[in-house]
Amino acid sequence: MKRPFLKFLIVAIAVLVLPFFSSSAISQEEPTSSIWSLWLGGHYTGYEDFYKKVGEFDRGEKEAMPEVSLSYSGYKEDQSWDFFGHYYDPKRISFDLSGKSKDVFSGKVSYLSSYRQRATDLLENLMAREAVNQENKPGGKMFTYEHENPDADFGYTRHEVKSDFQVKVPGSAKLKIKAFHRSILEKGDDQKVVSMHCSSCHMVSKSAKVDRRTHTVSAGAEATTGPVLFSYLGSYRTFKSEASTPVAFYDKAEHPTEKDSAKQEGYIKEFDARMVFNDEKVPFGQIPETEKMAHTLKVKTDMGKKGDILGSFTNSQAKNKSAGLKVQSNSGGLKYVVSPSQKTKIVALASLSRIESDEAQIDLPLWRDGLTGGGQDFDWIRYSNLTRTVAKGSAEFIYQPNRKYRVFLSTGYEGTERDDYPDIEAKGKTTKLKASVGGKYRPNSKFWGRIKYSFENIKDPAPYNQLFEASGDTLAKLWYFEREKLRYGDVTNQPTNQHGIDLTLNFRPDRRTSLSAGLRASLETNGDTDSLDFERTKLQPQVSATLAPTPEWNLFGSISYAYDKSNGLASVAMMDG
Amino acid sequence: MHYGSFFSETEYKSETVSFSAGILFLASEKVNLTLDGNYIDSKGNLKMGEMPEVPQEVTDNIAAADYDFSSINEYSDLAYTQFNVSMGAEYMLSSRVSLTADATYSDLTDDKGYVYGIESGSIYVVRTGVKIGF
Repeated sequence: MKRPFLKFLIVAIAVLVLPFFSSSAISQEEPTSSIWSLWLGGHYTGYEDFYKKVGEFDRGEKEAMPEVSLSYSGYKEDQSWDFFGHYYDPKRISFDLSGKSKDVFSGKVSYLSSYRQRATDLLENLMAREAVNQENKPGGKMFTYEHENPDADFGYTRHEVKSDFQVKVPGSAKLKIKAFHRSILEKGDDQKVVSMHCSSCHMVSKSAKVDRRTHTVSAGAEATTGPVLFSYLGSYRTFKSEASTPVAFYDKAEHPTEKDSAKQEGYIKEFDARMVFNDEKVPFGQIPETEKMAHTLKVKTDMGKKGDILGSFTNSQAKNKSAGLKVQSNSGGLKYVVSPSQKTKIVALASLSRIESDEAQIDLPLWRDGLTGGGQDFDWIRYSNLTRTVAKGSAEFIYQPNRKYRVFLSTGYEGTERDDYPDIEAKGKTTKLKASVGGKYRPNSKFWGRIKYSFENIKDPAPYNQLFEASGDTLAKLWYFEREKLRYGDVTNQPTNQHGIDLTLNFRPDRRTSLSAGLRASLETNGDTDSLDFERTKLQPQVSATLAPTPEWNLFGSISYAYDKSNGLASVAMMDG
Repeated sequence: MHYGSFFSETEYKSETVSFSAGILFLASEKVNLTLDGNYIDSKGNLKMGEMPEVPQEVTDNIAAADYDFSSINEYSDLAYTQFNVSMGAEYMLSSRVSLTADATYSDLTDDKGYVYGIESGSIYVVRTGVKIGF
């Protein structure tokens, strides 16, 4: 979609919507309330030093700009309409138009544009060179990088257009039709980094065009029959990049330092036989074209004292059109809410989901074809970890004997079975058992407090990864693919036990003063692995206050602290390659 | 030549303190004043455990590497402070017309920048205009 089409879309929506407001409101008698507000002015933006982070969402121009905003709000009996428009600079414009008529029709159209400045990855933090301390004689193998566009100014503009319409079918107050639309267009330039083969240890920064387009349309209906509410929503989303796929020249695979031409010839032959491509231009960083279709059905029944039941079913299919892959999912859920007595309430939830993701065939040329010991076929099938069945269930019991306090107790289960993880047809399963307890206390209108403790036990959290081969003499000639078999141990940063606490206190001694304090804390642990006793601690207290000592003065303030500590492993390879 | 790998336990800690405050003052029937700001101080530190001693045969056969791990932690250390303050004033010329003026200043101090370099910088915006109601 070209830029003129975006302008056409905005104008078309406005043309379609404005007549409605005109016919439903303006053409009738003058509204009983009509408020316009116009602001005319300007702004000057200045900056010092590196401005792309502190002004990440600024336009990045050091200059004065005219600025204007217009708002309108009007109503007449059961009709109302509002408009707000703001021109800040050429890259930041917004408007919002909404209206409602006789509780029969409601509509909203909005447009928002913004600009994001992107800093450049300097690649300077990637440094490696052998033998830097060998008698002041640096070795030759080293990592190198280059910037094809050292003065590039990366950034892109984001345009978002949304519309939302709801109509009650004339003559049937129990049938409502809904339609939504959302388009996001991003256009500009961004950085792409090409990583060469390890034979050259070389990275290249390139400038690539950004032209991403996402469109979503949804339509549905809602109908009420007696105590039963039915609803359906169909949604279709597409994503496509109109920017051409960038192309990079991949270095010739040769020994990075060997100067002897005869030896170098051997290295070129050896390295070339191990690689899928080198010494040629290859497209990279392709952004796939995707689409997704989803259907959601919901049924809600009000059974009076017997409770409420909400059932839902969603079917979706997502396609990667560029690669010819798809993900299908079906999920259903039930929610049951019942009050056995005036002081108690039970909320029960259950859901079952099945996700199936296509497997991908990876086709590779024979490895070291034509060389001694070579000729292996490493073609393989990538089975997706996303293919899984997820079952969830929970129940919450709430007891509120009077208005002063309420306590609750809940428990839950979540089981995830992955068809092909960690290996094909392994059916690796992660099981979570959850429990929480808490309460809310409100002795009077000036104070209320709430506390909740939660615990989660996770059996076999995924993923577990293995460490590189252990330290030792493995001088025997091993190829990299053989080294994979020497991996050992397990390590993960996923917990098997998780404790959490959430505390909130509110104090309002009078109408002019309010104080609030809260604390969130959690502890995650995993002692099941042989290489690391994982532990993560999070702590987040906060205090806030508002004060209005006189009608003229309003003051507010807040302070918060966030602490996060976890352990892990740093692994170092001992090699001279 | 390859001699496998060895590892050491690490500890990563991040701490963030944020503070915000604001004042709204109706100085008179014709004048409104606002002042607000926030301050964020964030740090992240990687603490390395004791790395195992590199075996003699490794240093003999792969002498080209120095196996100095003393600065690995700096690679993941982060530290920045961000400060924003804005103030505004509105003067009512009449019940339908008012003059507005406001200014915003933001400053970022990046002490440990590495991927994008030091990203310290500041930006300010001064705005003024007239508001008409009808």
